Parts: sequence; structure tokens; C-alpha cells
Amino acid sequence: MDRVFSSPHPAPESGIAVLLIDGLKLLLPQNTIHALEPVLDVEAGADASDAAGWIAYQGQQWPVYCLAKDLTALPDIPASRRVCVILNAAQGYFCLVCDNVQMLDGRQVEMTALPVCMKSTRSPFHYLAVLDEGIGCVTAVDRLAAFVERSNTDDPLVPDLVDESRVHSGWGST
Amino acid sequence: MKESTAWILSLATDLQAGVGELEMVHLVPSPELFDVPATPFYCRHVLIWEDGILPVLDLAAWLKGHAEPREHRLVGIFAYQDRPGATPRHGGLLLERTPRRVQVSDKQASGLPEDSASWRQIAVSCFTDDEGKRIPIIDLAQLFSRALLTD
Repeated sequence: MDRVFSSPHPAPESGIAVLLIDGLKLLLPQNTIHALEPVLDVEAGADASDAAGWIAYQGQQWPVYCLAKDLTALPDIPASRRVCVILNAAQGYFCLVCDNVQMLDGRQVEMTALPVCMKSTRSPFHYLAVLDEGIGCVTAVDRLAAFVERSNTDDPLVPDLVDESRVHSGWGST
Repeated sequence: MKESTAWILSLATDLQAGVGELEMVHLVPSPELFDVPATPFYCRHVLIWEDGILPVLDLAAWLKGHAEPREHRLVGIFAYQDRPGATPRHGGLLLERTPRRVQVSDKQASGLPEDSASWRQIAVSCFTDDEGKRIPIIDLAQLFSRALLTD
């Protein structure tokens, strides 16, 4: 059968990280993860931004975001969030707490473009993937960061963090 | 007089629309739908069907301008073409109950219902059914394109 809106794209041969957030599965290239820290290291409280707290990392304080499964920013970190994922972003690090992190072999994941009727310009996702249990939403760090920080509303599609070789293997922009 | 076959779709208790006979290809009762966040309020779910991922559109929500909590009892799978000769694509619509098959003749042609001005954006024609209701025939390619997006 033909796929719905586009041919499926093979995922990269490198690993894929699955960030589990209250049932939501966010897929990112594994090599965009810089570090995993226990959520206990996150200092609660934040300024006027949407961050839920701060983490000290490499001599600096970085805002930590906590998302609900609909991607709205939560002001407080629920007990289920156990891991703070420090992701490589264009401007330093983007830190996100999640319930758990899993790694997948990229060769076993097939991606399909997000259907065009669902794809608002602000969407942080460019592909979906069928996983063993449900679906995963494929994103890139800067795209996700722009969405979460709401800092890019007039220029909604930020360049992906991935390098050019990945663009041809499924992680790049649609 | 020209006659053709159509399906009348129940989009919600008070909302109906029609599609051509060959456009509906499958019905999925009690579907397992998956949420995709940051998507339009009328198209928040996808369905895995024949190893592919299909968008599932709540047309009633779009027509009313807001989504109401509803049980996902039935999804119809529809085929459409972006242009004549193109490979068929598929998408899903939330349905309230099993579609009804009807014969439609030219003399049943009517204007669009006045319950929503939005019908103009997605309907290619309209007919009056045997109960006197106006049933817009929807353009599936338009529905599953970017046309309904507001950003």
C-alpha cells in the first residue's frame, strides 16, 4: 500500500533517543543528547520564562523545561519525571525533564512525514514513526526549543541541528 | 437523468456530509487513535492502518470551530487524489455511526446548508436527501491538504 502523504523515510543508521513524557514519545537523534542528569539536580523555581527550574552544568545555570504530553510547559515538575536530558542546542544546551529515556537502533525505525493537514508552521515535528507501542513524534532540538520557548513565533521553522548527511537520511527538514 | 451513488456520513449528531461511493474504502470500529501534540484542534490524532500512519480529522469540530469531547466509535478511511491520475492517498474521518449508501440524481441538487459558512471551503456540491436534509459533498483532497490550516 502507498503511504498516506509521503513515502516513509528511513531513520539514520545511528541511534535514536526516545524521550518518554507521560505517554508522549519524542524522538531525537541520539547524538544530540549531551548528558543525562538526575532530576534531583534540578533546582526548582524559575523567573518569568516557561522554565520549571534550573540546572547547574559546566559552570553555568541552564533553564530546565517540563512539558505535559500536549507540550504545554508545566511550572512544577511531577514526581514521574526522573531524568533531566541535556541536549545540544545552537545556543548552548536545551534541558528537558522526562520520565525515562530509551535508545533505539535507527535502522529499525521507519519514519513518515507528518501529514500536511496536521502540519501547522509552529509544529515541532516533521516526521512520525510507528513504534512497538504506538507512535513516536520526531523532532530536532532547536525546533523543539523554539516551540517550547515561544521565541520564534514569526519565524517558526528553525534550521535543524542535524548535519547535511542526515538530511538525506530522514532527520532533516521536510 | 444522471444518477450516482454516494455515502452519507454522520460527522456528529447534527452534522452530515457526503462523499462519492468509491471514496470510502474502509471502516474502523473502536479505533486506536494516537495523539500528536501541537496539531490543529480538529486533527489531533493519527491511526495506524495497513502499516501506514493516517491523519484522523474531526470535521464536526472544524465546522463548529471547537472540539467537543467525544467517544471515538468509528473512523472512516477515505481515498482521494491530489490531481487526476495521481496515486491515491488516504485519510480518516471521525464518524458518529455507520455511513448510509444512497442514490443521488441531478434533480436533488441544492444549495449548501446554512448552519456553517465553512461548508463553502470544503464542499464541491450539495444535494437534498430523502429526509429533506441538505448534504454537502466534500472535497477530500481539500480537506486533507493544508487548506484548513490557519498558520
